[in-house]
Amino acid sequence: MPSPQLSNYVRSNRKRLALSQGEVAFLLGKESGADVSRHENRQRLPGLEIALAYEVVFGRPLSEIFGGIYQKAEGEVAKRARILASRTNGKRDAAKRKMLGHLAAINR
Amino acid sequence: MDNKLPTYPRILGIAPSPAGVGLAVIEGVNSLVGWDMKRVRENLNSGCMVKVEKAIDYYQPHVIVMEDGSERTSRHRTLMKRIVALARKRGVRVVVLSRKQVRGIFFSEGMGSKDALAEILAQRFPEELGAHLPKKRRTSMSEDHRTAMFEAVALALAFRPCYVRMSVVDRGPMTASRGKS
Repeated sequence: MPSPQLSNYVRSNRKRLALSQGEVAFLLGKESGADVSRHENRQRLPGLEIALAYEVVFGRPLSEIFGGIYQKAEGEVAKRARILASRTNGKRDAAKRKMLGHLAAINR
Repeated sequence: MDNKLPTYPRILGIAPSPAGVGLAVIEGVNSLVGWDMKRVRENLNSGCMVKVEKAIDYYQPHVIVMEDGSERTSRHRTLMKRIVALARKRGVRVVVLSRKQVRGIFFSEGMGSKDALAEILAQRFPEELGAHLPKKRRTSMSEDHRTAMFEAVALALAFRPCYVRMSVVDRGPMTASRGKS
């Protein structure tokens, strides 16, 4: 069974760096720690800009900070990649071979 | 939840103390994702249960690990029973390890002080626990409240090596089980 991850690790990363929610909010350009709290408690997903700012603040990749969400997206993309590969199987020109190679890499 | 555990389950270590409860969460190949010392001022056991319930909801562990409470206070034993009941309700497996089993994982001689254990864990997780390492306890000093957090980390870390050694009967389906060393 694959190891399931939590949807995000904002709290553990914040605590690792001994930052308060207010301090993280300041670094993200937010007024109060309430937004950070909502992200930590999975009540709200951050927008792309804020998510990237988390990556900068914590010095860890987004796929690690939002591990569970990444894992879910990875699984769904892999599922669709298999469908796309099966649809493309009949066509064998160079471009399609390249695409199939990439789809196989996604499934690994 | 399925009876079968994932290869790397999320493990919640719980260590009650006179001041509250220490909590730690280990995930994957021994990465520490949660660590906290929850202090409770009034209604110690009820307060601790609130904290434990929140931790279960937040971390959604596959396993809860606690230390055998047979030689502890009645308050400790009552709290353990309540945690086991809550875990059953949530479908979380509970494993109880003896102090000897836990110490056996960290000390080659099998036993060591809480200070020494905290130091080992702070070295292992310097970013997470380094700043929380309590001062070495002298005989005149009472125990630092953060010690329970280190104990919880030790319990969570000890789960996998101890679980591997447990017999199928000791592992139990969804109930509290005491492993043999």
